[in-house]
Amino acid sequence: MNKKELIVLWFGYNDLTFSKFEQIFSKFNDLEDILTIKNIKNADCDKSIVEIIKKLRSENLDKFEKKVMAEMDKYKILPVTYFSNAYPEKLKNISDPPLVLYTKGDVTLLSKDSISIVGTRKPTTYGRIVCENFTKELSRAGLVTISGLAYGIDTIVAQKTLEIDGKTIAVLAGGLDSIYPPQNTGLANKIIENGGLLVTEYKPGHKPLQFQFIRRNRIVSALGLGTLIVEAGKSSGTMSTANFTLEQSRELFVIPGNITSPQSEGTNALIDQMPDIFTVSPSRILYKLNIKVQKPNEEKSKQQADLVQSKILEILEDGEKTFDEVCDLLNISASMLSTKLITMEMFGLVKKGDGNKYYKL
Amino acid sequence: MFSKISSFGLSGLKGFRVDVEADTSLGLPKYEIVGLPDASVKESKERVRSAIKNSGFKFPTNHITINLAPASIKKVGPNFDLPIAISILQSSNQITGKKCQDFIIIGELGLDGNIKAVNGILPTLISARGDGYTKFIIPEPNKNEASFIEGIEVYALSSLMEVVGLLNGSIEFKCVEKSIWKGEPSDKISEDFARVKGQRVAKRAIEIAVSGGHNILMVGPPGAGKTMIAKCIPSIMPDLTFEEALEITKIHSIAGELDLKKGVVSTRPFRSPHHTASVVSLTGGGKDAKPGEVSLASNGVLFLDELPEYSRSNLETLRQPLEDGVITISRASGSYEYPANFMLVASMNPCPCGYYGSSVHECTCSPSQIQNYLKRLSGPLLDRIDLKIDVEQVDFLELSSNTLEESSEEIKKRVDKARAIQIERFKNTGIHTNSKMTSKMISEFCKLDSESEELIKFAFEKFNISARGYNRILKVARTIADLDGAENISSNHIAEAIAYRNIDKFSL
Repeated sequence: MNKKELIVLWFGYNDLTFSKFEQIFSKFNDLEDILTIKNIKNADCDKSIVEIIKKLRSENLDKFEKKVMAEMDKYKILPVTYFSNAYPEKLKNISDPPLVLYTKGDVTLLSKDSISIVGTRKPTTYGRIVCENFTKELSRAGLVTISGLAYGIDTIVAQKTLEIDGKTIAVLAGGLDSIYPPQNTGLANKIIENGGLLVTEYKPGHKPLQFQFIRRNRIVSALGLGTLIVEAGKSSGTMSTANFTLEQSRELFVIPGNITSPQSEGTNALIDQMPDIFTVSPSRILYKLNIKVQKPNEEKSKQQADLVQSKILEILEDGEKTFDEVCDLLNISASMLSTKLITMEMFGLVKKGDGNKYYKL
Repeated sequence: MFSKISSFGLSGLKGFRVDVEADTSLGLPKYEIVGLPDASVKESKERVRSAIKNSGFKFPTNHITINLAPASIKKVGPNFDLPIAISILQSSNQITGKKCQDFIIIGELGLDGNIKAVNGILPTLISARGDGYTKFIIPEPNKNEASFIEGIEVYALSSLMEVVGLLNGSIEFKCVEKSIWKGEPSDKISEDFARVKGQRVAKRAIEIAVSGGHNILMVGPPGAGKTMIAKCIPSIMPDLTFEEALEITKIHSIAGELDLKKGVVSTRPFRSPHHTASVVSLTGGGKDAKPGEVSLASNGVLFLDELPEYSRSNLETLRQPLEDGVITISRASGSYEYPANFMLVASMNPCPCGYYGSSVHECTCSPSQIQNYLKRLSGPLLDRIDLKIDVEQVDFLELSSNTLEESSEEIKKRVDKARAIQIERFKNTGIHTNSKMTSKMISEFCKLDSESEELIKFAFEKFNISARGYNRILKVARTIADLDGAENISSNHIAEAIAYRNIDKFSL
C-alpha cells in the first residue's frame, strides 16, 4: 500500500467526512505533502482540518499500517481506498462517497455492470415470485446483483443469484467482522464462496447503528447501473434507496403492485409520480441499461402436465386461488389435489404462497 | 398379641406387597406407626382410632406398635387405614379366626367407620394378581374399576363393620360381578367435522395424522379454526382396544382422575393443558411422582394450543416422551416410569400479532420479532413433528354456504381401516402405529419403487430436506398408502407426504 492510500486509510479509520477530505485534497495536490510541508498553519484551512493533520503527523504511520493490516488479515478483509485501482469510478461521482471500502471477496465485481435490487423485508408471495424471476433473469443476462443482505427481498436476491451461479454483492451497514442480521451469516459465507463480494464503508468492529442503514443505501444505489424496487411500504428504507438513485442520476425501475397491498404502497406512489419508471419485465431493464443479452440458457425443466394438472393451470390462469377453491372447482379429493399441486410445485409450474394460496408461475 | 394383614402399595405403575403388622402389649398406653410411613399414613392413626371406636369396637388401651413391612420402601396415601384397623382388631382379639390371612385389604377409613374410595385400585389389583393373589377387600366405590379384572375374587365393602362381619364369618357377602368391557363411541362430547367448513388441507392432514398416530402442527392466524379442528379430533379417533383401555385406566386411576361410576376409561383421552402449566404438571412428578399430562394423554391426544407460548423448558421436556413413548421420573424416593404414548397436536400463530402472511389483516410485527417467535420452537422439537400445515381463514361465503361437509363418522371409518392394517402389520412388535416405526422397520415396510425414489430425490434437492425429514416423509407416506389400502408406497403417496411439510414458514 502506498503512502497516499495509507493516509486515506488513516482518515477513514479516524472517521473523516468526505467534505473535509475534499478540502484537504483541494489544498494539497499531492496528498503526501501534508506529512512534510513545513508551515501547516499558513495553508489556509479550517481549524478542525489543521487539528486532524496535526494528529496525522504525530502518528507513526508504519506502526498504524502494521496494526490495521493485522486486523484486516484476521478477518480476511481487503481495504479499497479512494485512490485504489479497485475503487469503482461510479462511486466517485456521488456527493458523499466513502473514503475506504472494506471488502471481502472478489473486488473486481465493484466495477462490473450491475443492478441493485431492493425491497421490503416482509414481501408478499407476489413480491417473492416477482423478485425471484427478475433476479434470475437479470443475473442470467450477466449483471451482478446488489443487495443489502437484510431479510426479505435482499435475502431472496442473494439466494436466487447463488442458485443460478451468478455473482452478487452485499452492501452491509456495519463492520465485516460480524454480519447483520446474524441469521444471514451463512448466506454471507456462501456469497464469498461463490465468488461474490461483501462490502461496507465501516471498519471492523463498527456496530450496525440504525442511521447507517440509510447511509448504506446510497452505496447500494451508487454501485448499480440502476436500481430495481420490488415491493416497498409507504415509509420504508427502500424509499430512501429510491431517492438516492434519483439523486445519483441512476436508472430507477419500479415494479407495480396490488393497490390494496400495504407492501406496494411505496412502489405504487413512486410510479404515480414518475410513470416512466414503471417496469413489468426484466427485458425492459436490460434494454434501458443497454445490456446485450447473452442468449439465456433455458433451464426450464418443465414437465409435461397431465390432464388434471393442465386443468389446475387453467384455473390459476386468472389469478391465485386457495386450495379449497381449486378443490371445489375441480371436484376432486383433497388428497389427490395435494399430490398434484406438490408435484407441480416441485417442477416449477406453480408456487404455494401464504395461506394455502397457489400461484401459476 | 401379634397379628399380620396383607395389603398393597403402589410405586409408579407397579404394586408391591405391604405387610401390616400390629402388636399390642402391656405397658403405658401408646400408639405408634413405623415402617417409613409418609404424612398421610401417619395421620391414619387418628382416623383408625375414631373409626374403630365409632363402629362399636373397643380401641385397646395397651401399647400398640404398627409396622408396615418392607420398611425400606416409603408408603404413601391413606390406602392402609383399613388394614391397620383390621390388624389392631385382630391383635386385640376382636376378630377371630384365620380368614384375615386370605385377603389383600385396601381402603381408607372415615371417622365414622365408613370406607372411602382410594386411587390406583386397577394397577394395584393387576400387579397383585400378577404376584399370585386372588382375594381382595376393597372400598365399595372402587368396585366398578375392579370389575374389569379377570380371575380374582373381590369384595367391595362400605364399612369397617362389614369387613369385620365378613372376616368373622357372621355376614355373607357376594364378590363383585365381572363387567364385560365394551368400547364406547368417543364422539359424544366432541365437535363434528361436518361443522368445519372448507379447510380441506387441514382435514386431510388430520385424517392422516390420526390414522398413523403422527404428530401434527397447525399454523395459522387467530380465528382460522385451528382449535375447532383440534376439538374434532376425538370424533375420528379409532376405538380403544381392551388392552389400551386398561393401560389408560391404570394411569387415570393413579392420578385420581378416574370416573368411579364407570370404573374404566372407555374413550381415548384428549388432554389440553394450558400454556401456563408447570413442567411437573406436564411430565409428572411431585412428592409422590404422580403421572403428568403426557402420561394421562397416553393412547390419545395431547393438544398444545399456542405452542410458542409454552415455556422453553416445558417444550424441551416433551422430547424424550415424543421419541420413546415413555417418561421416566427420577426423584429422591425412586425412579418411576409411566407410559407417554401420545399423539401431539399443536397449533400456533405465524407471528406474535398472528397475521403474518394473512391476506385479510396486515401483520404489524418486525422481521426480527417473527424470527424470535418462531425460534421459540427448537429444531429437535420441530423435527419430531411429522406434519406441519397452514390453516388459513375461511372466507364468509364459504362459512355461510350450506354445502355438506363430510361427517366425522365417515372419516372415522377410513381411519379405523387404516389402523386395522397397521395393527396387523405391527403384531408382536410392541407398537401400534406407523409413526412409531424404527428405522429398521422403515426399511422393511416402506420400500420404494424407482419412480418414488426419483421423486423423493428430486424433492430432497428442491426443498433441502434433512435426513430426519426423509424418514418422516416415508412414515407419513406409509400411512397415506394404508389409507389408500395400497400394499406398496407409490409416488403419489410420497408426493402427498411431501406436501404436508410446510417448510417455508420456518425459514424466513
